[in-house]
Amino acid sequence: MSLLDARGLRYEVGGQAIVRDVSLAVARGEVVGLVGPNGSGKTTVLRSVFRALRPTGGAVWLAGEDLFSLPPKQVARRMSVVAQDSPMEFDFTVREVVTMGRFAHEGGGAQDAEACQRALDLVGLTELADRSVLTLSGGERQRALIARALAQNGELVVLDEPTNHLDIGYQHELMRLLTGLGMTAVAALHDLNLAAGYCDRIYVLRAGLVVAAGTPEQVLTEDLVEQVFGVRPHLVAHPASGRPQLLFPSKENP
Amino acid sequence: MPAARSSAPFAPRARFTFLLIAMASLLLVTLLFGVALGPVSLSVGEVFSVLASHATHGVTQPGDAIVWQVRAPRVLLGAVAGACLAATGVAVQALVRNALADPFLLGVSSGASVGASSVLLFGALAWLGSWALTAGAFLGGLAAMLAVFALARTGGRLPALRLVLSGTAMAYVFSAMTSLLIYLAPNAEGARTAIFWLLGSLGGASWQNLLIPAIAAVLGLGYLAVQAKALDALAMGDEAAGTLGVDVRAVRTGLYLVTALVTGAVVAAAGAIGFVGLMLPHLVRLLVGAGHRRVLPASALLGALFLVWTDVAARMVVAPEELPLGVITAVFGGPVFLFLLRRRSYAFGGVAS
Repeated sequence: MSLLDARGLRYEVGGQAIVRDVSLAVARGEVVGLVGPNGSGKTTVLRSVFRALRPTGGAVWLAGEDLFSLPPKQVARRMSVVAQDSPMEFDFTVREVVTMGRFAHEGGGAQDAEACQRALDLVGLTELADRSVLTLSGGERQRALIARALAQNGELVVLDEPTNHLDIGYQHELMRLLTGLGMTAVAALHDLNLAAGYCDRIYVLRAGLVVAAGTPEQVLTEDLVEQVFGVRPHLVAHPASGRPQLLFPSKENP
Repeated sequence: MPAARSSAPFAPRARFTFLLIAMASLLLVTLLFGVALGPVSLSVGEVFSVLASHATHGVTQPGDAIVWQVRAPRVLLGAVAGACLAATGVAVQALVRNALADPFLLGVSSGASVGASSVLLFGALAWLGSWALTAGAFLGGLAAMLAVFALARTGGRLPALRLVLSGTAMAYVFSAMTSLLIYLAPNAEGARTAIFWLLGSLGGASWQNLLIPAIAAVLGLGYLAVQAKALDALAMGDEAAGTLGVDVRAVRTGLYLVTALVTGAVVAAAGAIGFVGLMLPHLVRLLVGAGHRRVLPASALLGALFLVWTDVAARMVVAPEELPLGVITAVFGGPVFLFLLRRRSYAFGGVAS
């Protein structure tokens, strides 16, 4: 049984369908990537999955239960979210923000403190734990939010473009973290090579529909990328891992 | 600036506990001095002996009227009002995620002003006798609260921006009505009384009208304390709070109703005392950081301390006349706050990094 199973998702705003028909399944231990051009519906699909909006059609099952019938705390204990551009206006410390990940957990402060410390260690923010989040760089802030999601200790992590504000080093560190901890994750990603390098499976979205789904090798063909993104890449196999990687046109090679 | 908060907060737990105990002790002393000081000053010893003989034998000493009937309820009302306004200010700022928010943003105080002016100027609700002013103000506040709630609500939700805009718009409407009532006042003395009330005063305090604010304080602040972690999460945005497990609709609705009712109860008894609900939350965050489990109790205590002393000043500065409380809170509190703001790095609503 899939941990996350979304079927026939549809979302309309003002008569316009942003998501037309998207089904996706994430099995335990899988890291699944959602790729697609701007406006293809990646974020809307993810927002339906973490209940920030209610899809006009379709259903979402989390571990076999109807997501929209579960109480918020129960969902939060199973699924944590790293959303895009979270606003930060209050002068919380990093540790306070990470501790918010424990909201849905009953039980002792010692247990909470331990989960938070572990999350801070994993993202490398222990040294900055007592700093105000407002003084952090964009990348550090993003890592604080990832630590909050880790402290939440759910089975599934949903990430919406988590590498957005991260430099190349932290982009790979984050993806290593996700895959290395054996977590189940579904992430919208802009960078096709990051998706190809770390995801077990990839869904390709265009105009609110899934146009391809499968392993990176199955999905990321030169034709498909050209068809979906309008730019034709050169496909190579990574010399070390054998995973597909895409080389994009340059000045000499338009 | 990496050393941004080296000297103060994220104080270890022991330090925060010490701060709370210190503020609570200071509050007890403040209550005694608040009763002792005034146009006719007594010593703290005299206050003690009057209170003790009142408790044991009823009215026996000459100072009983001033201590027991006048100043004790007044000082307690000041403490209750200060605690309520500061704590609801904290909650409203998290509810609408806006640094400029205060409990009066929700329209309650402007509605209460219409009710109070109607009573003071045109004798509305005269059949209620000594309850007329309190009841009028509370009913006005309640009407405003319900209007803002109905206007801001969409699809069962209470979005922050709609709440701010609805509250502000209603406040303008009600302020206009109050101004009109004052303009139409049948006599100048009545208008003066109304304006004095609008600026806030503890002069009308009695054991009778202390009752409702005291109940509101216990229940309301209790509710806020229970929701402290949810307030932390809401401060990160509704969507984030939802993913953390907060039942956002229910909590936002509950917070709105509780803060509005507590504010209404305070305003009905003490008028629209400005500044406390806006600035004290910021002052407290400077001291203890942003976590609501620290900010709420510290705000309540500091609010109580602040308002009791402000009222002492209101009675003493131009004795035997009194100044409106709102004038003193703003005149003394404003510069103190600005001074602290400039000294300490503090960033609510964005920071230059």
